[in-house]
Amino acid sequence: MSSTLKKADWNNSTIIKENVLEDITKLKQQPGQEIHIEGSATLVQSLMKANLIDEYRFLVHPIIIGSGKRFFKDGMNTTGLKLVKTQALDKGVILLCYQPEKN
Amino acid sequence: MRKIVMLNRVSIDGFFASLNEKTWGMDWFVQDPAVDKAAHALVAGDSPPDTLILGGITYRGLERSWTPWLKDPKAPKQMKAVAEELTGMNKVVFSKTLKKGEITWENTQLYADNLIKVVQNLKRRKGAAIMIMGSGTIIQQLANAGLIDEYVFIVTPVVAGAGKLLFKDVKQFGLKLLSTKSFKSGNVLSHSETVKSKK
Repeated sequence: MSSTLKKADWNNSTIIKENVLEDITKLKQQPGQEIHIEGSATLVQSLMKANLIDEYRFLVHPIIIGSGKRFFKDGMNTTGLKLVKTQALDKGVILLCYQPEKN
Repeated sequence: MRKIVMLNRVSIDGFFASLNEKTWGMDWFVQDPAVDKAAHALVAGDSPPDTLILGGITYRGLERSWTPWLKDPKAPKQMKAVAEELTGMNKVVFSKTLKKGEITWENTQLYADNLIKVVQNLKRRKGAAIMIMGSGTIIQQLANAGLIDEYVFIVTPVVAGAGKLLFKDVKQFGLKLLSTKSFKSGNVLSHSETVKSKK
């Protein structure tokens, strides 16, 4: 998903310039495995608003940064997340998995 | 040296309170007595803390929420127990706006400044552990001075989207994870200690 990228030469890459929500909805309906998004905070925020994300997985690292890029922009809020998994990994990283509760 | 232990709820996106003064910033908290109990046990460890460091806003909130239970004959047992525990602790309050006359709670000392110096002296004195909760701006200053030894987070299953950031503009530092525990309410309790730089 990019409005500025002109080409993506890497194998199996497709650029979607517009109608992101429509295209993602179609992608979800196709047979296949899980779809993953990594990083991509702006895209995640659009998909969050459209209720297209089924699970959030966070790797909480044992460090306080104090400043930097925030994953969730101000005003992006959601309650009703259900904790489905937590796991303490090696080196003190915590995996937290949440699913939005379906209404 | 006495250790200082921080306890705070944090949203997934790193806020410890909302901006809503009417609720003392507690809008999105997911309350769960099992979490409170576990957090209390974690902070208390072998010797329960006898001192509480607080900023002005958190102090006001605690005083107004808990002191009424002390004199209320109808107060539920648990509420009364917490109220008595907090009343018995030494409360060290840092605020530039609170006036001495406004403080009615027993065992409270008010300081307008010299935060770092006062806390360093407090740590050197004999006694049990020192706890700090709420009090974001105080935590930020103490964290920067390397004075907080342990952090207990109650990670709440909420993206708050706005509010008060717990570690706003704090200098980077590392933590060592000691334990995590998850609860049916969706809260995750995590306990870490500060990684001491070897000198």
